[in-house]
Amino acid sequence: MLAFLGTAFFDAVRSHHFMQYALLAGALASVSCGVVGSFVVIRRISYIAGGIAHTTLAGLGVVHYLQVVHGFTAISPMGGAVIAALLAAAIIGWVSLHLKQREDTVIGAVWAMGMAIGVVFISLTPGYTTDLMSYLFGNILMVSSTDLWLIAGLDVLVLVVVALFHKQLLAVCFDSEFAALQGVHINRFYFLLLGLTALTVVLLVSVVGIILVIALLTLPAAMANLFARRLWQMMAIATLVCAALTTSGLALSYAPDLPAGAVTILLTGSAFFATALVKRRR
Amino acid sequence: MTTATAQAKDQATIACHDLAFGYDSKPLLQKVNIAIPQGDFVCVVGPNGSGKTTLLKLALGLLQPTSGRIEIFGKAPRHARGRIGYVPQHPRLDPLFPVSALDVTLMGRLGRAPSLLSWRNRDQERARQALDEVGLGDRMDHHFAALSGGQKQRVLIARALAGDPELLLLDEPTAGLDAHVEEGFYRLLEELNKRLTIVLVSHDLGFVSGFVKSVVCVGHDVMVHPTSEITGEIIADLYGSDMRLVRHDHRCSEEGHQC
Repeated sequence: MLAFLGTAFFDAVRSHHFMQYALLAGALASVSCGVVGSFVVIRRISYIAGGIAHTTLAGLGVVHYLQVVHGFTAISPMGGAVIAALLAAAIIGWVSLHLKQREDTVIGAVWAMGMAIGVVFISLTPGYTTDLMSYLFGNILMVSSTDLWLIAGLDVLVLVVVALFHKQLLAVCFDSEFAALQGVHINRFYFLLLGLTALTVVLLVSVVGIILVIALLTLPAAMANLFARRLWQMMAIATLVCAALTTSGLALSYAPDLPAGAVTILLTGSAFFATALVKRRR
Repeated sequence: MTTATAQAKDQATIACHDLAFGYDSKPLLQKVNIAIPQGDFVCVVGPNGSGKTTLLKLALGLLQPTSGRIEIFGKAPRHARGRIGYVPQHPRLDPLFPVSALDVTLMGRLGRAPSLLSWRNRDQERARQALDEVGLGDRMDHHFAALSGGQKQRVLIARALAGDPELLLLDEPTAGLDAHVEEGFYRLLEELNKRLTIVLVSHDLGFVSGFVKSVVCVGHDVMVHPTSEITGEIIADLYGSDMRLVRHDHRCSEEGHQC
């Protein structure tokens, strides 16, 4: 059975560009996923990351509508998702700094409104609603070469920013009060972290879709956290785990024609619970 | 005010002038006038909720006074931060956080290192020295989470020392430590007090041992007492009448009687 799945998958990779693109997209997105996911886990902002992920539907929906109805081509739907995610990060960041007590309520509001805007524009767009499904649950097989360049570019951006500021980012996550006393502008770095989260979320939306992003962003990093003693180790392990999961998700889903995003997330969740159980028993 | 006392106040490491602070217009600290000289070893005591930690945060410039002022080395706290080493309570830190003892200590160099890219050798060297000084030179690469409570507290002190401070502020440093660990911990502070002014906040009076030179009592009034002056009356006044004073300053050093 596995042999059959494997053969079908490897044949497809050899013969189809879209399979090669899909594999490459998964591998490239894993880099940001491991690096930024580690920060999201240690700073405990997965709810914020979830909110940002869902608001990307607004960007995707609006740009898709403009494309179909008005022939607007200046930005791709993925570009629209980048704008929506950064905007959501700015709003949520401001709220969580200034209205601490009601932070979760406001995140919930931004989350739902972002989705509602997306749904409204998608319903205004003539055509099939399958687009909605592929935004929500991902369709890695649809990744174009333009998308790949965008993913690679965002990857480089994320890595450069983290390499430049890793000292401050780590200190802000570990003990922000102490970091502030050391003269670190903690609010700026908080926004920077949310911005990186927004960009990474957009990368992952193309792999597993809006609803499933949060699992892929946080679970590989959470698994890595059980083994790593230092942040760079956590990032490296999370990246490898994420790449392994997206690749196997793609491989296992191909022959039975199952949605790759959902299979990837089922694998991710199972791996997470299995790791946590094994680690706990020891 | 005579010239002599004016000079003494200028030299004070921490000086409060009619300092007041309240949360949401409820006054917590009022008319605080204290001066802590250089080289002092001060313990700030008072019941829970009396404003001890608030006083510490005012000294760090994390909170702004409602009225009056607080000066560190004659400056506003924000401008003296480079000379202050702060040791927070460790239990509020995430136990799974992926950092080594050295990583944590290096964070004390943030104020002095260039902001971009990695640590310089000089910063690494200073952090290693600080860990040596607190007796953890052999644990540098250990996972911070895997250290004992007392060791974590020492790492946080090393982190403060790595920034070469002149004043060390500690918030409830012995909370949750075993008695024998606590003893070693105070010996470390006594050693550091040879070159640093030390202010620590504690909710219990158990510590007022031979190491502490003066006590700041935070209640309705904030007062400084030399250790020898702490009487049952002061404690009863601060904590309520149920408190009993257990004498354990049997060593009666000269410092304890100098005032």
